Formats: sequence, structure tokens, C-alpha cells
Amino acid sequence: MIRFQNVSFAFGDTPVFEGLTLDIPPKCVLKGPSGRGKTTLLRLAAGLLRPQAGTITGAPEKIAFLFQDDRLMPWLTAEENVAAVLPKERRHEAAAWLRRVELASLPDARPDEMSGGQRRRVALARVLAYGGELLLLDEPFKGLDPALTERMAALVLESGADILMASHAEREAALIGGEVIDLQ
Amino acid sequence: MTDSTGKRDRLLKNLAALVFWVAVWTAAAALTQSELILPGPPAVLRTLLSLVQSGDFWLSALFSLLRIFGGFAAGLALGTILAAAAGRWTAADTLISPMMRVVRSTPVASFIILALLWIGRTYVPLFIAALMVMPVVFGAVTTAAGSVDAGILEMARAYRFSPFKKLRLIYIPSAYPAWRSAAITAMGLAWKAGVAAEVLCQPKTAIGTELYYSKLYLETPSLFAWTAVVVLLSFLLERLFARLAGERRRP
Repeated sequence: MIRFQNVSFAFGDTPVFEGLTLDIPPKCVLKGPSGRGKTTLLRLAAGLLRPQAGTITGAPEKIAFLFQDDRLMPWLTAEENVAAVLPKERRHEAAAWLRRVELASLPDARPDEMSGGQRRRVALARVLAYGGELLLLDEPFKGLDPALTERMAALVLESGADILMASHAEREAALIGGEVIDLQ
Repeated sequence: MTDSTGKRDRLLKNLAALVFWVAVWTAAAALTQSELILPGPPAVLRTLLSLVQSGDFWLSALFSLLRIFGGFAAGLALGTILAAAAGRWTAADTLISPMMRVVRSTPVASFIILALLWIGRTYVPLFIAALMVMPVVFGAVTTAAGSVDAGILEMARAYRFSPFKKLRLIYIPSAYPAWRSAAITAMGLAWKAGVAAEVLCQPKTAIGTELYYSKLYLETPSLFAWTAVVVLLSFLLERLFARLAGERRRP
């Protein structure tokens, strides 16, 4: 369980959290309108941002992060993007991960040659291939149709890792299950 | 339009432009009616043909090529290494950046005269070529490395990329297009500055030395012929480098 205790965080003069205290269970969905700090909370949990006050404890050592904007390296192919997060001896697994996200035909495509949904799945393959103890998923199924969303959610659950997901969609939250924290 | 048709059209346009400027040159030469002031294309071609038949021509071209290309390669390597150091350590950037600005804005003639005093005439063109290339490459690489997508860098932090992996997978591919175009621009600069250094220092066997003698003995056709050689060599090297460096690096 990740524990936020009296956490305050601001971007410059704009406060996002002030004295936030929160226990995040192993499977959890953050919901709430845009600008309420869902992405910031994920970044704080990942240690990518440091709180100005308070403490964050209980985050595991190995965390995989699915960013809202994919963050694929545009000069690498789909397969190379997945392989980039793997140690040398496991790089050959990248192709299999692409197959699992139903992109077997696109290993050599670069991000600018793929649709938004395909890029999303490459980013998802990268998260799953990395094999984190905790998956931080920011709007993970953005741009996917309902059937594909269901299959990808099943893959995420199959990983067995703890999940902290930010999402606007009730249906996606239901697919992942777990506790829902509303950041209204 | 297919690729080959496009290429043919471009070639025809370039050829037409060349014919136009040679016609202008011929007309201007006919107007001046003096080979000393402006020799026409036939006189220059005749001189060039007689030059290429001598062994000295090839030696001069070869030695100039080696000096200037050597300087270019040294400048390219130094500019890249110093840019990497400046990107990695703030202290290195504080130390190197002002030096690069000074080098960039100092007149090349000042460096040529100083280098002549310091290292002797043979290696001045090499030194000057390196000096011209280094700040151009340094500037391009530091700017490109400084504008690497912050989101990609955060992704690298999240996935705990090692510094070497970040360099290999993010910084090098991000900076490569800027490095490549800076290197191509710098190659032209290296030629201009290198030959200018040869003219001022007159190393034993060099295109610049031949240019100096052409000026000394008022052999304008020879001046034109050697200039044509410089332009041709610069053009060929630029094309060769552009081809070797490729359009886009795949790490």
C-alpha cells in the first residue's frame, strides 16, 4: 500500500495538493475531472516529482509507468521501443509483447507511422514487458475501441502487478476493479 | 511525379542554371577583353587541362585535401566531445561555451597569423580548419541536446535508463540530425578557411600556395582554375559526407 501523508505539491505558484493524506490500496482507480491532479499523483507515486511537504511511503522498487501521452521514442520502431526498457538478455521478448497487444504486424513501424490506438498499445506493451511490481496507468485505454479495451484490460490484470490507474471512464474503472478514489 | 522523374527534372534545371551562368561569364569576359581581369571559360579550361597533366597538381590537391579534411575531422570530433562534456557537466559548459563564442567571432586571419607563429606553416591549414568546424558543431549539438523532449527524458527516468542508455537511445538520435547538417555546413567553412590559411602561410605543396603564386605572377586563368578545383573538391567531399552520414541514424 502506498501512503501519502500530509503531502503538498505545487507547480510554481499553483498548488495541486495541500496536506493530502491518502492510503492507496494495491488495486485502485483515480477518477475526477481534468486538472484535479490525477497525473501529478501518479508522478509523485513514481518518484518522478518530489513533494514540497509530507511523505510518500510504500511504493515498490520496480514501477512501470504508462504515460498519458505514450512517450515513445520517435526514432525507434515499435519493437525497439519495447525492447528499450528490457535488459539485454530479455530484448528478444519485445516481439512477443507486441503480439500480445495485437500488433504482430507492426514491429518495424515507427510511432509516426502508427495510429493513436496502435501507439497506445505499444506503450502498454512496454509497461507490461518491463514487469513492474506496480503499474501506474494514466488513461491507459485512450483511443481504443470497447472490445480492444476489454482485451487490453484483461492483459493488464493478467500481469498480477499492483495497479494504480487514472481514468475518466467509469467502464474502464469497472474493468480494472479495485477501489475508486475520487479526486473531486 | 515519380522519384526518378523528379531527379531528372532537378538535374535539368541545375544544368540549365549552369549553362546560364557560363554564358554570363563568357559574355562578361568578352566585354572586358582581358585575360588578366577576367579570363573566359575556354582559357580557364585550357589552364585546368594543362594543370591536371602535371604530377604537382595532384600532389597539391592531395596534400590540401589531407590537411583540410584532417582539420575537419579533428574539429568535428572535438566539437562533439566538448558538446557532450558541456551537456553532462555544468562546469564544463561554463568553461567551454565562452571560449567557443570567442573562437566563432574572432577573424580567421588573426588565428592564421597566430598559428603561423605557434606551429609553423605546414599545419596551420589543418589547425584553422579544425578551429572553424569546432564551434559550429559544438553549437549545433549543445542546442539539439538541450532541446531533447522533456517527456522522453522523464520516461527514461521512470524506466531507470543508465546514463549510457540515455546517451545511446535518446541524446544521440535527438542530436544527430543537427550534428549532420552542422557537419555539412562546417565542411564548406573548413575548405574556405583552410585554403585561406594556405594562401597566407604557403605550405610547400598546397592549393593555397598555387593560388598565391597565381596572384603573384598575375596568372588569372590559373587563379580561376585552382579556384574551380577547390569548389569541386569541396562539393564532392560534402556530397560524400552527406551520403556516408545518411539521412537519419537508426540507433
